Amino acid sequence: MTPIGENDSTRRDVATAATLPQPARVTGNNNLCSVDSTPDVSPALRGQVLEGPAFVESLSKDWDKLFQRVPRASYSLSRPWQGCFIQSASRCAHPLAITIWSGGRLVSLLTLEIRRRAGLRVAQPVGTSHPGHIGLLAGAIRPVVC
Amino acid sequence: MPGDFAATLRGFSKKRRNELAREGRRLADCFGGRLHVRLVTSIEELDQLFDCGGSIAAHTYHVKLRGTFSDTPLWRAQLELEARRGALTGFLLLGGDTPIVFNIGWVDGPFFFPQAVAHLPQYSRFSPGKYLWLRVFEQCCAEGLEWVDYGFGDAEYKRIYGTECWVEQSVRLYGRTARATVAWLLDVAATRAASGLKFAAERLGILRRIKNAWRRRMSHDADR
Repeated sequence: MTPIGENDSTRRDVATAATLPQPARVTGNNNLCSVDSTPDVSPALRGQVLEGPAFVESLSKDWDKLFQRVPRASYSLSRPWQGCFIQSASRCAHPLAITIWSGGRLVSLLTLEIRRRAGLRVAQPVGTSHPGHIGLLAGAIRPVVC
Repeated sequence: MPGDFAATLRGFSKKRRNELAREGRRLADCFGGRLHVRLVTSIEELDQLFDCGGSIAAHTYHVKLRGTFSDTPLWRAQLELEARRGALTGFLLLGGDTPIVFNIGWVDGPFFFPQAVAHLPQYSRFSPGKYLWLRVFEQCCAEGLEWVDYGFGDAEYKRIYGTECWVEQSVRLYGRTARATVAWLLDVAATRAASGLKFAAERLGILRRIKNAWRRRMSHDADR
């Protein structure tokens, strides 16, 4: 197991306003849409981290649009469902959303909740306590026309 | 699921079908033939679901682990949400007037996602959970659903009724601080020790007995 931070590339990938040099390729099963951009295109991707339960509202339109664009996305990754968890857990957990944008369009979203356990800050995907599908909500990435 | 309930049953071996029929008869006899399945789908019925489901869950070992169905703001918000979008599907099995098993989940497309399943421990010998699962499959087939997704974790009913499974692994990433490193070392040590003990118990054929004894103890504690 590699602790976070030992590899510098790990830090760059999660840094705000990151631009990924290679086309993203993410594959998954039922709850994860396959993302398979054209190999010769390098879309400019921007990462943004949003903290606090307010992101459920501030991201609402983009989140709903992304969810609609991913035909096989599990309902567990939808805003209303995750909103239940985030609102009910916000007293004891600090919610956080890692978003990836492509030309002003939300293309990927990972929601996490951060709790303190034995003095350690532990982040886990929202909804981990329930037996639903959790993880990354990812839509197709298209080239940005400048 | 192959489409209709009869075809689903034909998917089991003859021995399994006979066993399920025998267990169903024994359960019905226990309540003088008065077995009744109640289907809960609307927001108006939620209080009843929380009352009956909560009374069952309170006697199970899950309650000690705080990992079961109960009347919490989270469960209420989720079930209300599912009821509003017409996806809530809760089953209660009553023996006479006594709720003995619940199976609560929701529908998403062709899938049924069970979220909470529990039965009263004193009826375990009649396998009431297995009986209710058959009624759940019957209802799913009637509604044209194609899949029941049991979610994470291993359970006897998943082995009996499941047709597909895969192994998943939790991935944990740790920071570089001293505390995080200590936590990582403790995690690795505890995980390896647990895996070793589980492997040894499995090889000795006592894993199931240990699990059952532990669950019985937790259930007794919950009843105190």
